Amino acid sequence: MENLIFAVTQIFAPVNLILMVLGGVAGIIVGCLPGLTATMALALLVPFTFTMPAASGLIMLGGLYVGAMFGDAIPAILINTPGTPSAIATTFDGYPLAKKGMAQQALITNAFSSLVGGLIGTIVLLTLSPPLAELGLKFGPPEYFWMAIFGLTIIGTIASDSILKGLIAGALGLLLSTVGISPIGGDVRFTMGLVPLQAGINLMAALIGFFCIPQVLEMVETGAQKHQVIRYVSQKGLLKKTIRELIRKPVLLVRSSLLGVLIGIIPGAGGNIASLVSYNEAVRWSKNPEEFGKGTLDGIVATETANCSVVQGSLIPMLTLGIPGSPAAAVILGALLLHGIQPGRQLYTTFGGITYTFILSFFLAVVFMFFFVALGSRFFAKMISIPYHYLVPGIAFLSVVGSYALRNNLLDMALMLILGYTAYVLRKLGFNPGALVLGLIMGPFAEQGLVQSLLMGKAAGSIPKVLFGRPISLMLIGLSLLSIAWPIYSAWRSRQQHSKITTKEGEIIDAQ
Amino acid sequence: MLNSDSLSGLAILALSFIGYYQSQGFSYFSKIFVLWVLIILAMLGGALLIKGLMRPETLKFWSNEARSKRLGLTVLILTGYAALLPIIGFILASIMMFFSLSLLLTDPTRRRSARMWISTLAISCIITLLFELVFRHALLVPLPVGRIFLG
Amino acid sequence: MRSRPLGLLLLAAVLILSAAFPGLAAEKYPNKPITYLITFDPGGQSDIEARRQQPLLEKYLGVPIIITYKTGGGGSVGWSELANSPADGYTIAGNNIPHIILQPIERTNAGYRTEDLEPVAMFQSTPIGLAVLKSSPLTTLEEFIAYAKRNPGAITIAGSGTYSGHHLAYLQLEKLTGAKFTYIPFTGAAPQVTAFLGGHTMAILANSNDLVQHQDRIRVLAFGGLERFPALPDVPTFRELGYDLTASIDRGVCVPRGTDPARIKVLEEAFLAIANDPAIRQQMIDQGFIPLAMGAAEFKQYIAEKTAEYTELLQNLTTR
Repeated sequence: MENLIFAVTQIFAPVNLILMVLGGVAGIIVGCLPGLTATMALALLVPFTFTMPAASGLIMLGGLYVGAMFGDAIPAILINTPGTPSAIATTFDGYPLAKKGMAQQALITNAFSSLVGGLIGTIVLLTLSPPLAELGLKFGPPEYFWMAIFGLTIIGTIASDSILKGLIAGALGLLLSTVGISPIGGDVRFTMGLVPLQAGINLMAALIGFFCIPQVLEMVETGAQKHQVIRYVSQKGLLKKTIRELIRKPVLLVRSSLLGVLIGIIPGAGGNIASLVSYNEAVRWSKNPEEFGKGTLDGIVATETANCSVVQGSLIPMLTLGIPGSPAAAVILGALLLHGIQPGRQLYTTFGGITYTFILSFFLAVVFMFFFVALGSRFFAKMISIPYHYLVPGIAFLSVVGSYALRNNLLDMALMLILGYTAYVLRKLGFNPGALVLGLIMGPFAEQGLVQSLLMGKAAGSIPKVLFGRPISLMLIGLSLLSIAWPIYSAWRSRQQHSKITTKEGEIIDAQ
Repeated sequence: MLNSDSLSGLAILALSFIGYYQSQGFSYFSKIFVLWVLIILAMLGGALLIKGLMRPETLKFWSNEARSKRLGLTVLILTGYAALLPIIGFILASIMMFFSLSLLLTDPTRRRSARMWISTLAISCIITLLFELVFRHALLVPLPVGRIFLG
Repeated sequence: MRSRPLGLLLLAAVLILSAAFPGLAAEKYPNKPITYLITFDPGGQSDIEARRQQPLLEKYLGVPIIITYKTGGGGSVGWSELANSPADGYTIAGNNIPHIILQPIERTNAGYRTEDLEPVAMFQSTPIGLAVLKSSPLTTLEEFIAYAKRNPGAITIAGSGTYSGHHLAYLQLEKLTGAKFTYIPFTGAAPQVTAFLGGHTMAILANSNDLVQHQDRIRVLAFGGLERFPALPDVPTFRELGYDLTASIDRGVCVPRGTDPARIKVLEEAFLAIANDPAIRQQMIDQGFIPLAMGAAEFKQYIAEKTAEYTELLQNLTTR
């Protein structure tokens, strides 16, 4: 209890408030720029926190982490480019909304959803950490494998116009993910003799390639006239109106937030998987699944709540067990260690004050960021109106420089361009770049999960028992089957309804 | 006019065979997953090839000449930019890329005025240098360094 | 904006000038920022050490230290980058033993040779320990080995990486005890420890700091150090138990081959001064490391010894 009181006094200390806002704004900027990741920005900030008290340093780092999750949706909505891998699914509906002239609504939705996700995530972090951390440990190699398979079934949703091509794109993504040094066998695979390629294909560089470059080329191709259609129109009272609309979706908001937390606690699975899964579930449970992908606020709600609550989810195993749930959490763990704080049980006893300050500061940070992004939405949305002949070179510039800055690697830049040109051609041929990225994300989980399960199975004397005989695995297998069957079922259902309507119309015609 | 689906299917099949050939030397644990993915990919590629033959779908890639020309030039500028960065460095290469791409996308009728050229050049320089200052000097984020000019 | 092109041009000129002349060069070393390459992800142990050193390095050397990540390939991508960097002392990199020895032996295309990396100083050692969960019925190394002999291959051991320090320790363990285990490689300390704590593997070969961190849940059977490990003094070493197995991960820094020895000396002094700082030493001990302060010459000698040892070991095992 005294820890909580200490925490509250810490959070409202003016210095800490300023640091929180500074961290948050830096996070938004970093999140906005593809190529600057939250992980890198956090690492950059760690030495500066040495001179601060531990609580202040953590407040600033937490603010930055949260800010990045608010910021990454902005380029996703405005220029169809995810600022971090967590915002991939935000492009599916965000950009169509911007094209309809609803960029500001989309941005407000992003702010509000992130707020809800952050609040729910923090409540869970505060109250349920220890049991959830134990649950996260139940995830072993077979579970990771099935999680990857379940993740891949999302192709059915995002490539619904041609499942066959979607599957091909997914398989290509899986194949791309095997480039580099094999995680288990140690062999060098598909590097064409290039040493820097031993590091594998960087997900963010690939994302920039898959999303930014086709966008640039498409804008060049369609020309100025077409582009000016999505000019931003300022509207009054939009904030209240949009939020009122969003509050009427409590189930969607809460479900997506909880999904984010749950996926966050699985070490290694981050915001990218959480937001994609949450998007997939939103489509599945929606009464109007056909609206997704064409620009519905629900799509943004699903992804942005999940990718914000993932932040707190990933901190659960870190604070309770000392296992970082995401790369960004790993950096925060490093900062804790450098301040002489060992995670684990004593984090809630000896260092309780600092820990609770850190957790409670998220409440305030998400509220701050909400006002920042919501009130700033009008300003951000105006970025669309930057003249076409400056906007396009600007995106190209950011893509090239961003892909270099990621890992300080010229090869990443070259790969980004090659993948980008390929993605443009693939898009023309009807292959979905989202499915390709999905394969690239799930590939390492699928491969390591599979091979480690095989090794475990051999040691235990039965490979099928390890792969198919574990409760969480069985649940994931069930979910995957459901996920595969659902689009087929709903297609069948809509055809049924469709034929009913036509017959009804037919009857009417008859009656006349 | 080409049968796009069948051609894509063929390309996918070819890719899986190249992959299979390349994976021959891998050890068992490096190969198994790759092998599964390649088998699935080859099957899907075959399915696409057959689908293309049964229900041919043709695709017109570029709608008109002006557009393809603009597109080709953009690809050229971007590729050139990436190639020049490690040689002439971040500042010069970026200014050149921004300037040329911006000019390419400006309405041809307005391209004649000198004032337009100057303001495009100025904006190219400002954006590049702001980036340089903020990233390399304030945030210490690495930017490409050239062999001829360090910037 | 379009109405004032000349004003914009002026602004551009000012920016060009300020960027082009950041300061005139002098002959003293160091006089410009030093890039410190980290070959593993942010948040990893190499990164934490570098972040710990960064402010002190800046104090001793008087120039900014820029920490840059060049990750992948178990570190080889970063080390090959360093090997190809100018040998002017302005690019340094963290180097890990045994990684920099094993990679060039194990794959011909690692992108660098061990001797391309000129050692500067070594500041930390983390002995590798063998542990089981507290709930495991196996309480000593003897019982562990006896169980493995009765059930060949049934004991799964989580490690980090293939042909890494952990993998080698496992190979040595099999060779010295004659028992069979199943080694399951993971892609880093976090996934490895998670899988072990979750009971998905029966044992783990892990770095001392991870074992110290999770000591309430696990039972460490033996450590690979020469002496008992200060943070867990009750745990015997393999040597005490009669197995000649020493295994550790050691961290230091290196520069490209051909760097001016005078410059190496400057760097060496700075790193050793930090390594000898009592506060830093105490922090390292608390977190489960053994602080060291080994200079360039001694470090070079150590690498040579280890190279001979590992080359022989790998040849004997004839794994390939």
